[in-house]
Amino acid sequence: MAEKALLLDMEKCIACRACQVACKQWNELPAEKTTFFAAAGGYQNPIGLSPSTYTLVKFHEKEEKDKLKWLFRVHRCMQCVDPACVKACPVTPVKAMTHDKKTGAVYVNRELCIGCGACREYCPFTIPVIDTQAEKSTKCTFCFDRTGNGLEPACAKACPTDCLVFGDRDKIVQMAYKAVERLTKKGRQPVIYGEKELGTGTKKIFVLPEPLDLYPDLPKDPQVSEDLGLFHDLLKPFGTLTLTAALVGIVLGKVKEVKDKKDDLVTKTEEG
Amino acid sequence: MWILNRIAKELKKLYAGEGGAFPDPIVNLNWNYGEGEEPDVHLVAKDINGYHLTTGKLAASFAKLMDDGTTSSGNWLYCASYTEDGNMAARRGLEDAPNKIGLYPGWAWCWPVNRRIIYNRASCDLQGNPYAPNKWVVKWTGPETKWAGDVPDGGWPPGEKYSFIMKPEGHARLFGFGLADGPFPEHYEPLEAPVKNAMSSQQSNPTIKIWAGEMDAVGSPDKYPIIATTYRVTEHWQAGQMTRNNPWLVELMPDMFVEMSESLGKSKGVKNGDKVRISTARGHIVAYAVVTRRFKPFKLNGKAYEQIGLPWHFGFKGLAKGDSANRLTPHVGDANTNIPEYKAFLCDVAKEVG
Repeated sequence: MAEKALLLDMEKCIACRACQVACKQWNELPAEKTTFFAAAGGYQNPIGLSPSTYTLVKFHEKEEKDKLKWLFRVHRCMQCVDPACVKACPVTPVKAMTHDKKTGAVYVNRELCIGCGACREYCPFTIPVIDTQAEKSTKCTFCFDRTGNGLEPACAKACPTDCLVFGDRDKIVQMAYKAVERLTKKGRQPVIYGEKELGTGTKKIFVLPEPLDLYPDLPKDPQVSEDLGLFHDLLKPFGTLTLTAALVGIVLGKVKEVKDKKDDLVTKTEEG
Repeated sequence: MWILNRIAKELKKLYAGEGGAFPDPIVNLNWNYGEGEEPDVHLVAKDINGYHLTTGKLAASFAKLMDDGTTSSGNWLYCASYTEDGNMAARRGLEDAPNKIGLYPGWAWCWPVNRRIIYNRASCDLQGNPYAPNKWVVKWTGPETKWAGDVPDGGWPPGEKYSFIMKPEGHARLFGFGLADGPFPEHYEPLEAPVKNAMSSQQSNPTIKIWAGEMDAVGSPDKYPIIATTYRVTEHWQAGQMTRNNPWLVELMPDMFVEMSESLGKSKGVKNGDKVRISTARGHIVAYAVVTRRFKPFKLNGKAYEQIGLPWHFGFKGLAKGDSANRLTPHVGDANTNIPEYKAFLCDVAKEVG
């Protein structure tokens, strides 16, 4: 299968949130008990991703010539081409965070996952959410169980405006550049996000009609933390059987300690 | 259909057993939709189409229906939908009609008599030649072959009758008979308006229907200076009986809210997310405030007025509960259809205390 990707042409998003519902329907995720969410103007719900919400339309606003414009953005796993979460996953010999050979999708194998949170810790976008009760990591599966059977992801299937389009990654990138052309002609300042981020890019290719500053929840220059190697070095002495979420938690704490010390040193050096 | 079938069968049984003042119409009611748990939908569709009762054959078209008791039809418009050739609505023919305008006459079926475009003879002049030959609907091909294209709206030769056959004069109407107002356009203010009508000495439509009950009070701008309007959200449908009981939709839109400008919020001491009481001459409700730059005061006759917006959909039962905007809206009925003035009325807002 050629490398696949999903175009998210956000100018076409009307925030109908059909993708949110379709995602829950396909993945059999329960509804969350929500209340009026004032901070996002009452229209965004739930507030964030959760073990039962893999995708979410976020509501941003922009004031333009005394008129307010909605800026919508679909928030979910970016499906990195070179996924740090898979590298971070300490479960051995088979990783719980799965990089599916057939579809290229990155998803959590719930049978193997120990819910340690290393994937979230090392995700450059801080996407996976740990279900602490079930002790599982949760996130968008890129609908590997649909795409592997020749179907498009549930969100793309439900999208009524073709804001979400699934296809071969090279074609999706071309479509993104065409969308940029269209938006530039309209006097917007479009940005492609996901083509080159993290060096190798992601499989979610965003076309944002406005500059990145207006989407404060997207990191401007996403990076994979460089202490990923240290994390694995510290885990090395432990065998497959002894690996628990609690143990990984301690190791992650240790990594943070080492890192803080280093940062401290750097600061001191800079000061000195 | 399942419910109706059960009720009808039970009623027939009760009337047959117990009798009554006049049991015949129910006891002898023709009700034969099978003995299964579910009524046989094909038998229902056939009944709607109709039968020749002497032969037991399905009626071929409404032109064959008689008023002498020898035929039956549930609805004459649907006669020809289920014939001796089968269920016409289940056809999946992929061939277009000869005019190639996408009629696909062999795909499913439509009333009347599978005519895809009603009044289609209006697309021709009085000689039966189409006004738009490149996208013709029907055309006269001579006394032998008659009309081609769609099923013509009346098969008689061109020139004999005008095309709008359901109108006595045979023509389409720009202004229909029987309307309470018109035909010339006029601007009227809503029944509850903060300003005098600047376009006419007549303040509001003189032909609207106004009731006189307790819930029909009309508010004045000195007591209710703020303009209110109502609208819908994508996630809920009408009064929400279906959508407010669907957990996934309730998650998306859980509560009743009211949208207002920052200036109105400031003057009333209302912040985003506060609970607000909205009052009209009819009653009051409580909703969450969305204080937003999307709402701005606007000028009428040179004076600035504030406006608030309320969604419909909420009510006192269901997974998501909330006050109903219906409590606020006026019950004035428009001149012809009695549709109330839900889009423009007067209110006041205050921060809800406690």
